[in-house]
Amino acid sequence: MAGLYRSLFRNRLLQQDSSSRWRLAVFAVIGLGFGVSIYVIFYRALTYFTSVFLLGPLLVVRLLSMIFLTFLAMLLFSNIVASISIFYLSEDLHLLLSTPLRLRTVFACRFAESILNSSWMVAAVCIPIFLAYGVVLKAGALFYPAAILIFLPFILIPANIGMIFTLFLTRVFPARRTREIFLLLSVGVICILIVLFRFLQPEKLANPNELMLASQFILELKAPSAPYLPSYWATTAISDALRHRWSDYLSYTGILWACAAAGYIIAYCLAKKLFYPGWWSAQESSMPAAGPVKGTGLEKFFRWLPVVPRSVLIKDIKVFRRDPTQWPQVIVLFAIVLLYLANIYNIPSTVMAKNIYTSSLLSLIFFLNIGFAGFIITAVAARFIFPSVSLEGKAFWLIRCSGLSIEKFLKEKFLLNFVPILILAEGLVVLSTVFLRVDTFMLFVSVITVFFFSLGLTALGVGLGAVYPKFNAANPAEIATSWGAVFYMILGIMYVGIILILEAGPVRLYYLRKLNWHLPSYLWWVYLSAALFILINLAVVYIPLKSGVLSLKNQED
Amino acid sequence: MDSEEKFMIEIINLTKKFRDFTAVDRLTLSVKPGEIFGFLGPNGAGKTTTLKLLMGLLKPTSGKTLINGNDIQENPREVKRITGYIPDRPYLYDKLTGYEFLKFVTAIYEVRENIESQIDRYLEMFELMPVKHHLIESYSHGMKQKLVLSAALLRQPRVLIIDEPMVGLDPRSARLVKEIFTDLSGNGVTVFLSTHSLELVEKLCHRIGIIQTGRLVALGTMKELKDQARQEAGNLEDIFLSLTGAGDTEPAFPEG
Repeated sequence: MAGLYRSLFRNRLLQQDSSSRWRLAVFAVIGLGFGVSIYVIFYRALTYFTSVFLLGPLLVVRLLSMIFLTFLAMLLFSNIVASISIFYLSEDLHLLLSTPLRLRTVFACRFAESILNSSWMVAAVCIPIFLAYGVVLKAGALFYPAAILIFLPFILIPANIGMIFTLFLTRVFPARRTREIFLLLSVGVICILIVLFRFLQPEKLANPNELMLASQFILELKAPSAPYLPSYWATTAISDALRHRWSDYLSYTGILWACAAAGYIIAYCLAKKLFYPGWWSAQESSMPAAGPVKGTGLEKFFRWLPVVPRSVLIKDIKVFRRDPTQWPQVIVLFAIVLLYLANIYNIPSTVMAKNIYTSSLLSLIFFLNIGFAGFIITAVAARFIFPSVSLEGKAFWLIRCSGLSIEKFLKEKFLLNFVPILILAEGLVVLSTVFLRVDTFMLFVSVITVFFFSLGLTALGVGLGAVYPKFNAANPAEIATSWGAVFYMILGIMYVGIILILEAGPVRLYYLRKLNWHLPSYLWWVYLSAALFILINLAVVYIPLKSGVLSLKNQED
Repeated sequence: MDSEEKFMIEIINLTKKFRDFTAVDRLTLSVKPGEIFGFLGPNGAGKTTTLKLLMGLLKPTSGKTLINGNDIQENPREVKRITGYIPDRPYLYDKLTGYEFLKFVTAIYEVRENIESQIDRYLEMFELMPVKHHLIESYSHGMKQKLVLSAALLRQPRVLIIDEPMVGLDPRSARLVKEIFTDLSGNGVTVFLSTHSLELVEKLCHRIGIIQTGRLVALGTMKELKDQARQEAGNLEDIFLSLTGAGDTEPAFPEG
């Protein structure tokens, strides 16, 4: 089995061509950027905490405890989702389980695969955090291997618990449905955490006074720190390692390792009893429920549309409604909208109240809101519009063989995505203009800009989705986190930024003139901005769609 | 061949390379209207690649393919309008019902007349009526294959390109498909089928082409192939093995 995994890994590496190496490099740079940001944030926070008289050490430990507790919950969720997929739904299991391989061997290999799948991201985030702890608290070189010795059993324990939980769950419920529900739950939980985090306004941590408030908050937070939780053992062991209390460190690390080992043995013993019955039931439940499907009435509802776009739209709606793997996208959409509203909510209370004296300049600040809206459209499009071509999946051969030209197919995808995104974006912007009571001019600028954002970002999403399709993706999340989607996000944000920069000059001029400032005529500036605005929007609509058409035409499956 | 003769399918000096690997190598052949043409070859010989090139699912490295005189690369819409394609693996929209899928197909092919009755006719013919409103994900491989066949036939194409038509079909459906192909051929529809079923080819096809490592090694009627293989007697299996050199292989389980 180990040989098999080695061969798979080696072949994957050897298969890398120059373009995939280039993608890998971009992902590495983005990952490194995130890593450095996490390090800087923690370095700052820890440096401040350590300076707090008397309470410093307590704050440091409390923060660590919160981190470990969050990671424990995340690991538990992701291990359940991963172990259901890897132990019950992988296609190669049919081959593996038909061989005389011992269950012990299959279990061990699959367990390792499950841990790698579900824990790599937490491990990657932990590196800069531990590094920051080590550097700020001057822990010395021994701290880092000591931290690794804590981290390994710490990820093993939720993996064991997740596995045991999965073994029981799949005995009672069908594996596929259980995974779908857990996926939905975990996306929901993550979204709630992100939204809550946003509402806490982490940017305030940049201000020392606010940092003091945050530290009070951390102290007052009644985070569960029960001594029987692995997060408590890990927190205590790390604090001991930081303070060089090696005997205490060893006892807590010992507990972690003992618990991990015992958990593995229990999981394996249970697997001997429960794995095969669960696997059989998963096979039976993978037979889709036979039975007629009720009519939807969508035909009637969309009868005003021409036949081809109506058929494409109805097909997409039905597939979305009947495929639970696509539903987490809706949760993500809600989270994104909530984030937007949180930002709007924060503008008047922070920036405006302190710095703005006139209503005109108040409106100018609202200009920032267009940027938020652009970002929201980019993020929503990355989840919904970019995957729209890839979601045709392996059935895309049908479109390619049909009389429907690729040009027409992409045109339909573009129009069907543009209308809802435009309604959503304009709705949000108009709502926020009313909420913030801005003037008519800024309302006009917002509505026009958001119209072009919707147009450009839809074209960019559909076009790049066609240039980088993933027809073999198991679910839309895989498409939305692919290389193409990241590239789309980068280009989308750049486009929003450039448009804002182009508009900023003329908008500023308008307000300065309104305030009766004597300015020489800068009309050439307005004209130049308008020309560039039109040119860039034309390019953002035309180039990606044209590239998408060419790419799909040359697609070799 | 008569230079004036009209061909429905023409493959002219067609080559397809995947990096250094040549899947199809200077392939040239033609198929007349109403002809059932069998395309044979060992695994990995280039059959599926040729069919995908015919449908424009792959781009040729050199050479071209014409259907009814139209180059798929230059005039794909015209070619696709009159051609039905059935791939070896029927990937469909699993979350649609059989009926919804056929309805979708009629829409994207712009079939406007008698849609409901045509759909019901083919569902009835392939015994899919009881599962008309069931999700495709609940269909067996054979049922999916029959649904794709229905989708291709209800548009009444003039050319049918089929990759492994009998895979997954029960004997009753297989016989029905054979009858359909014969009827279609009688009505002037050209059928180009790639298969490993020598029995099907022997019974059904007017002419046969054998491809090996991307090259056409034999082309003609059964009689012409026998002549090429220098075999007086014997069936298509012997001819196939002789022409592809597979007859010289060592026994799989040597005695002793």
